[in-house]
Amino acid sequence: MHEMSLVRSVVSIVTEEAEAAGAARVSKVHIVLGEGRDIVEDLFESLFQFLARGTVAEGAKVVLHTRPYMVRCNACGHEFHLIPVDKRTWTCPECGKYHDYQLVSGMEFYISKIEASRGN
Amino acid sequence: MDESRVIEVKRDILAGNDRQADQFRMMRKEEGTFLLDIMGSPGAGKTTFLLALMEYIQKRSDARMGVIEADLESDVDALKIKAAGIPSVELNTKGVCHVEMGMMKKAFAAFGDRKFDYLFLENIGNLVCPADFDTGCHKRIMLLSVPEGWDKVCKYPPMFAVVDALIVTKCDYLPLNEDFDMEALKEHARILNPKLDIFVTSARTGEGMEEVAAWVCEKRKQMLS
Ligand SMILES: Nc1nc2c(ncn2[C@@H]2O[C@H](COP(=O)(O)OP(=O)(O)OP(=O)(O)O)[C@@H](O)[C@H]2O)c(=O)[nH]1
Ligand SMILES: [Mg+2]
Ligand SMILES: [Zn+2]
Repeated sequence: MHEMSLVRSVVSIVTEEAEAAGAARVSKVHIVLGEGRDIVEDLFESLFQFLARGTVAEGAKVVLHTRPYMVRCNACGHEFHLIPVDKRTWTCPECGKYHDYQLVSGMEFYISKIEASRGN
Repeated sequence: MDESRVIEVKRDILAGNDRQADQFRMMRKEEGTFLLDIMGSPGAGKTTFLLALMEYIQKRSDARMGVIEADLESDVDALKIKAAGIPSVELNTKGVCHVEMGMMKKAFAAFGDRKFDYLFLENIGNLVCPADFDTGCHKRIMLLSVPEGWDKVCKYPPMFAVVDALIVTKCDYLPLNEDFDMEALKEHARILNPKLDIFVTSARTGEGMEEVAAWVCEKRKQMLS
């Protein structure tokens, strides 16, 4: 169950950033997640609630923003959306080159921002 | 009054592990130790493949080799490696589904001041979780055995995006698995990673093992140059 390690890291980054910014309470945590990252969302959310107890992030809502697989064509540089199970998407829509590209997005996994209040 | 505001963070969730991994990789490189991470589902043939691989590497040149055996609970594989006369350390994850740098550094330290040319990590038998965690190795490979079926490749696309080579194992089973579509496997494995190297092997018959050993030795040479 790798969610535990990931959430532990999320909580520690969030509390560190919130404290550095002098925030008293975190209301939302925005996470950018590539399509290629395998996490169980419900588990992630409930682990977060559990591990954030007693920290400034207690009760904060986790908002996940998913990013699709995007690839850049090696032949013409065009970037397009790739769907692994749909073979038609393995061909560059711009120049027609088949299966010749580099992955440029879809493996993201970072905290983009947090919403916080200074409290009293 | 509560005044709500946005704090820009932009921090990678895995950065802590990634940083330690980069540092570890660098240190091993300076010592001339090439690390290879071997992943694959339970029973894909990781231990058997590894034993064969080390024999083929040994045939090419006298090399100092060691193995870190990650296992959820047992020491069965670590004992198999020891029985072959290869120094090995058992990395017991106590039920955790992947290997992280904290565990890796501890396992490595257990070798004391032993020096290696090649150090292999048999990762936890799992196709999903290890992909997210950098283990500080120089290259990562994934094993997929013929009895598992070629279409396993469609179920775990991210794993193929993070490995340098795919090793199809137990190819001596091919005559029994007529529906194993090798071309479809290769095409799908490369969807997210068009440059992926693919080898078809059998640790039982030795097929393809020479090529994999050559690949591993070449990668070490590239690391050193
Ligand atoms: N026919 C055949 N059987 C193989 C081959 N390689 C491994 N096996 C068999 O497959 C079974 C599993 O092999 P292991 O090497 O233990 O697999 P593993 O991936 O290390 O397994 P775990 O560590 O338990 O996940 C054993 O019975 C091996 O003898 C091969 O090339 N051909
Ligand atoms: Mg094994
Ligand atoms: Zn193109």
